[in-house]
This record gives sequence, C-alpha cells and structure tokens, in this order.
Amino acid sequence: MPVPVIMPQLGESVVEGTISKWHKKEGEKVVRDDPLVEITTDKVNIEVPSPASGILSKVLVQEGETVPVGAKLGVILLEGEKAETEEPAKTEGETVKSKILEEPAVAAELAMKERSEATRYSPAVRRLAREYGVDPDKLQGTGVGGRVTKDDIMAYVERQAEEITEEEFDLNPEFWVKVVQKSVKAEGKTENGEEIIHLSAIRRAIAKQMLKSKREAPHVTTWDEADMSRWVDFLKKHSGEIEKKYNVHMTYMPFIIKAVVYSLKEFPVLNSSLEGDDLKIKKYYNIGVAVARDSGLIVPVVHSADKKSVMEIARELDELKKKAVSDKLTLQDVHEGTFTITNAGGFGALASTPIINFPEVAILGIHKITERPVVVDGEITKRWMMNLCLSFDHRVVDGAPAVQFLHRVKEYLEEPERWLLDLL
Amino acid sequence: MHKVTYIEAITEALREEMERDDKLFMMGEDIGLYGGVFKATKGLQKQFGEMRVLDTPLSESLIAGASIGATLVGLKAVPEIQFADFITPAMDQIIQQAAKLRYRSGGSYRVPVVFRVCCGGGIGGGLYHSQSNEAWFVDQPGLKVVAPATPYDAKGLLKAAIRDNNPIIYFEHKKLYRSLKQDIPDDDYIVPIGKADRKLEGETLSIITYGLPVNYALEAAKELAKENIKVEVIDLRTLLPIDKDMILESVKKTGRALIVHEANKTGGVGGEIAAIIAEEAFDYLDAPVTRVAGPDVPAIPFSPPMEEFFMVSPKKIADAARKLAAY
Repeated sequence: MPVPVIMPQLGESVVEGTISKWHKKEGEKVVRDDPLVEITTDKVNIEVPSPASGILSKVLVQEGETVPVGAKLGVILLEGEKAETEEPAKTEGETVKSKILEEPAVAAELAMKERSEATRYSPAVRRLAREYGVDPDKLQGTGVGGRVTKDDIMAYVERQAEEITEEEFDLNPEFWVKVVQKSVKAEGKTENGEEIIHLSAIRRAIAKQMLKSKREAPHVTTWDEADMSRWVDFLKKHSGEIEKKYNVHMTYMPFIIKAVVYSLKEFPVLNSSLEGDDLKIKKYYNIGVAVARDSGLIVPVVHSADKKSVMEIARELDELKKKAVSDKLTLQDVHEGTFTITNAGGFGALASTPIINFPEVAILGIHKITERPVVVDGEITKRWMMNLCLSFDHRVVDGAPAVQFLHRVKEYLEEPERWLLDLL
Repeated sequence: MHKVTYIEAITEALREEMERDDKLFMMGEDIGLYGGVFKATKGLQKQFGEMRVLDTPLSESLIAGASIGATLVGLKAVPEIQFADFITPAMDQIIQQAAKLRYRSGGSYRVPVVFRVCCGGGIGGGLYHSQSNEAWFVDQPGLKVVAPATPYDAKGLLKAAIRDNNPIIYFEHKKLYRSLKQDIPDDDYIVPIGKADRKLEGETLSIITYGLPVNYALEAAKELAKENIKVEVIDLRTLLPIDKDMILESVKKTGRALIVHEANKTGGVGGEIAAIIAEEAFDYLDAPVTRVAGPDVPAIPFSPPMEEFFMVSPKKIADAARKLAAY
C-alpha cells in the first residue's frame, strides 16, 4: 500500500495551508520522520515529517498552492511497490465544501412513510380554500400520504380559471376571483408586423359575459341629467376637512350609491334577477362598482349599502379599489351584487349605454360632471351637470318604473335634504 | 473592493474603529503582544500601544467588569472573550450590570461595550472550546446579540456594534475565521443591527438561520435547486432584537419554515423563532415548523466522528428540507 502524505490539522480554526517548500522531489528517497514538506498558514509554519520510508512517487500539490486540512499532498511508495494512478488532491468532508450524499428520493420516501393523512389540512390550505371557495376534499393531494398542499389548491384554481363553462360564471361569481390570477400567454407578431395577443382567461370570460348579457336581456337605455353643483361645491369646501377628520379620500360615488339605494327601495323591481320564470326581488342592497384594470374590468361589491354610512362606504370603496388593482379581491368581495354602477366619467365620457351586469336587471352609468348653460327659473345660467344613463332588462322592467327610478336618483342627488327624512 | 477572510474582516473593523475613535480600547487574554490566540488583534498593540490594547490575566470577570467600568467614565470597550465556553465567570457583570445599568439609571448611564465572543465547534476543540451559548443572552433585554456569517457582515456588524451605545454580544464563529474569503468594499460601511439578510431567494421553503450554518444552508440550497426545491435562505445576522418582519414575510410567502442553528435544540433561539411564526403566520403554514440543531448533550465531544455527529451540516439541512418540501 502506498502511503499518502496528508495536510495535518494545524491548530484550531486553521482549515487550510500553503505549501512553502518540498524538501524532496518526485522520485527521491525519503526516510521516515525526516522533514518532507514545509507548510505556512496565517497562524503557524510547520514542517511535516515523512510518514514512511520509501520513494516520493508523486507530488500532488505544488509549492505555493493552498489546500484544505486533510488534503493529500503526495504519495510515498514503500520498497518494491508500483505506482498507482493519480488521485485528486482534495478530500471530502473536512472543509466547509462538504458534499451532500444522500439520494433525494430516499429522504422524500421516508417522509412519505411517516404520515398518511390526506384529509388533515394545514392552516395555509384552509385559508386558501376559504378565499377561493375551493373544497379541498375534492382534490387529489400531492403531499405526504396524499395530503393536499398549498400548491395543489393554487394549481386547481388555475385549472378552473382555464375551464370556465357559461353556467359556471352566470351563477358562480367565484369564477371572477379565480381568473384574476391568470396572466396573458405568450404574445407574438405576424409577418406583416401585426401584433398577436392571446386573450387572457379573464378577458375571455368578460367577452362571454358581455355577449350573454346582450343576447339574453333586451337592453333599453334611458337618460336623465342631474344638477351636481351642490356636490361640487360641497366637495370643494369640505374634502380636505373630511380627509383630515375621517382619513378618507371623498368622491361623488358614495353619495351616488346612497341616492341609488334610496331609489331602489322605492322601485324594488330594479333590484332583482330573473331566474327561470321567477323574478327574485332582493331585499338587500349590494351595490357593485365597476373598476377598470389593465387585466380587465372587475366589479367589487359594497354589501348592505343601505346599512352603511357615507363614510363607511367611502372607506370600503377605497379598500376595494386597492384590492382590485392589486388582484387581491376575495370571493366575498365580488359576491352577490344586486345592482351595478359604472363610472365612465372618470375617463371623460359624457354619456354611454352600459351593458347590464347579468343576471342583475339594470345598470347605472354615471358620467363626467361638466359646467353647462342650463335654464333655471326662466334664466340661462351655469350649472355643474352630469348625465345619468340607465340600461335595464326590458323582459322584466318596463319603461315606466325605469324612467321613474332614474328620475328619483336625480332628485335624491339634487336635493340631499330628502335623505334627512330617512334619518329623522 | 478587496478580498478578506472572516477574521481579517474583524481585524480591519477593529483597526479602523480604533483609528476613528480614540476613546475605544480593548482588553483580553493574549490579545496584545501575541495578537490573540486566533490572531484577530494581530498588530493592533503595536499600532495603538499598551494602554489601548491590554493583555489581561485569565479572568473573564475582570475583562467584563473593567470594560463596563471604563465605559461608565466615558470610554468605549471592545473586549475579547477568547472562548464562549469561558464567558461564565463574566455572566454577573454582563447580565446584572451591563444589560441593566442604562435601564436602572433611567438612561443616565450607558454601557457601550462590545464583547467579542469566539464561539462554535467543528474545529476539534472539544468540550470547552466549542460551545455556542447565544441563547443565554437572547433572553436578556438590555443586550443586543449579533452573529455574522460572512466576512462582509462580520466587518459591517462589528463596526455598527462599536458605534452603538449599548452592550452587545458579538459572536464570531471560529470555523469561519479562515474558511471563507469574500470581496468587501474598501470604503467605510456598516451592517445595521436588527436587520436580517435574504441571502438567497426561493419559493419552496424558508431556511432561517445565522452564523456558520448560513453557509451550509446555501450549500444545501445548491443541491436542492437541482431537485427543483427552491430554498430561501434568511440570515438573521442579529438575534436580539430579531428581525420579525423578514421572518414573517418569508414564511408567509413559502408556507414552510426550517430553522437551523448549531447550538443544541432545547431552549435554543430556534424555539423563539418557531413561536413567532406560530403566533403571527399561522394561517400561512403549509407544513410543521421544523428545527435542525445540535443534539441535547452537555457539550461538543472531541472525537472527530462524534463531533461530526453533533454538528449541523449541509447534508442534515438538505435532508430536512427535502422532507419539508415533500410534506
């Protein structure tokens, strides 16, 4: 057996050393315990004695090279031995550069054997199941012993978004939350330089939903206008104060929602949905507000708007908008709307014919508030005017209640004193 | 930029701070004439003289007590405790005096002492030259505790500690001294105390660790990446005050937490981290919070195979991570 010359441990904390001098060359005779090689570290310099008598057959580490403790520096052949093939100078396990030996499959298999509880759900799985309305019992888990993991839930949500059936998103607003997460697929260019953009799942769903609404519900749009001067004046004077006192950025929308809710109470048919041959009149007032996003339109809902103060609604709208834009809406947030308001005014529209948010039966479009000449008491004067456009489903809503409802919204907006009656 | 080992980074920090602040002095066993048993203070006595780099008798209670006393009359001290194992004689001075004086005096007194404590095993040091006892100090409000894992952090944290006005225990791991080299800036810089560092980004699981095992975790992460296990490595750097935000942010993202430290498991810092996660990120956990730590035996044995059995290693970390990823 050839004898290796090994880099010794040179005191605590020293993990490597530099060969400063070989006293013998390859092929020279060495005598046991004679100085063979000199090593320098930043702590000490030492002479390594020869571990055996024989021939220094190989020098594996040259002068000036630095190697870790335990490394093989050279090989000594005893009398009458033949040289072996060369070996690498570094050994394993001695330094910070140790190697990981265990087969990956082994560790995973061990873990598999240890537990098999497919129906015990981790806190993360329970939370995601709640948020996305997924029933984990229905999933095939990929974790230990068939456990449903966080990733299994997310993968299922992704798949669902891909496979939307029409019925599903009619009756199942869950879908709106699910598709939120989808991203646009790869895009490309044609030969003539036209750009090809694959529709994202959410865009496809919006398309289907719009088509269905237009196909099923005969749309009629009626117009009215409201004099918003008092509100313009009010917000000009008080929005700073409101911001300071309530820490909320006030817009027209909460007031408009209030005016709509009061009007819906007087014209319940506008707060309904058609299910087969039954008209379901809702006794709760969940007002959806369309929010534009790059990824596509979404309609978060202010629930029980009749029971909330203007400030509460303002705060909630803020919250919902933030969530919508950052894709954080939960199922609860887009669930069970009864009537929708869409604001095209923010982008400058003067009027529109909005498409009903099926299966609701009406949608109110609000628009840009502009200063216009109007006739008041026989005089031409300037007023801040806003157009109101109501699209309604003519299968269940006749023109009369629709027009009266819209006029009521206008009156509540123009004469907020009417609200006082409700508060007295 | 220039390349330094972990211990050179410490020496640099000491030299630069001694030059910057003539109120700073150091004392310890063999730190002067000999330059420290590990050579951390090599050349400093020659440069700054015997009044600022003091050799002391073998008495940790003296080293700690005298350092604390000196700071009460306006000096700043960065004493060396040659081995963490021998800090016990100084416990009264550190716990009863240093940690409490500022609080007890309503802020009239400050104790700007940085105890450099050489800790850790894996170097064949045996029972009394291998211990990691950071947990004794992490439950002592009034102290700060840091444990750098890289040359960059070693220099930056030592400088930040010296400029801080509180007593700080600075744990430097002996095995790191000469096993790591890293490029660090030529200009003055500090690493803020109380801020963890994301040493690697990943989605599958979070390894939360500090000191030597940070490097083992990164090594394990390389292997695991080949198996599509994407590990995030959080290096705490400071153990008191602990960077809760980064721990929670990471665990909320991955849903899986693997806590690693060399000190034995029971009563270790890992237990505190696990409790923080359980209290504040419960709804995000997708697997049991897991610890990889030293076994609960009185100390690290001298025999190499037994020492290896005690020490945390890349393999131990990788195996635990695989189990956790498969869970």
